[in-house]
Amino acid sequence: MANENARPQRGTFLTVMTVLFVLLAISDFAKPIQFGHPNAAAGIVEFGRKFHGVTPNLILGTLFGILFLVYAYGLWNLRSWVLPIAIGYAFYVPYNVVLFTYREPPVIRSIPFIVIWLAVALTGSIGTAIYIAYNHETLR
Amino acid sequence: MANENSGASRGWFLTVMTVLFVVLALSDFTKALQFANDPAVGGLVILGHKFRGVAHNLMLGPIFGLILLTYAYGVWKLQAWVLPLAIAYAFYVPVNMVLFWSLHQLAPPSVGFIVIYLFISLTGSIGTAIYLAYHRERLS
Repeated sequence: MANENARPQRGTFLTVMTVLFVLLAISDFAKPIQFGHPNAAAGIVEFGRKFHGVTPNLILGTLFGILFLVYAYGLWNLRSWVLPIAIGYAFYVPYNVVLFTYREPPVIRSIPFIVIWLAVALTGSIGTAIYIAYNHETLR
Repeated sequence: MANENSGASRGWFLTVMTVLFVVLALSDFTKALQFANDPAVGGLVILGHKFRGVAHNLMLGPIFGLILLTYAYGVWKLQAWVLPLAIAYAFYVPVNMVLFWSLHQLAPPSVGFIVIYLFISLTGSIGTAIYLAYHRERLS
């Protein structure tokens, strides 16, 4: 009954974001496996730095995977404690992306690729935080 | 009396942000002078593209200066129409930075500098948007 009440309030945007965060968590959990077929793109990027090797990816991939699952759970159930996580993540993603771009420049990518990638990344981070802040009275 | 009420509900965060937006607007208005003084450093950056030449900066600087002054006015007066502007700016700033670093091969500044720069710019853009969204009932 409680879940039925919560579901209509969550809305399409947060439902889609929750699914994307679960996918992101799965991707992070699978980071060490990427080194079975290493390529230039393999490796988790945190704090603007790409981590190479199975061990760092196993540790950080698991930590961030769990964090994303907690975030997704909070969004799905509209928990009030998810707001600080959302705000922290809204700042973290641009930090991470800008520091990475600055520290490890060019793998040259096309502008459309960067724009689409940024649209997804920033909507998930900044967009979710603003949406939750705007609708914070629906959290419990 | 109305101003006193408005000042009280604005709070120190939005007051500081308003002042910073006015300073940023002044900086944009003087972009042409900055460029003329030091072409290697000066120049307005829009969507990652650095505009070189006095004419470009003389034309675009005032346009962006006016947008920032409008933003500052809306924040200072707690106008409801400022929220969409704040949200757009929250997305624009990180996009601008990432595109700039992706498109330009520049001698990187120190990590300390970039972290402080990110702190100020992301607090001003993302922080202001989240704050306004959370306190939307104060906007009129």
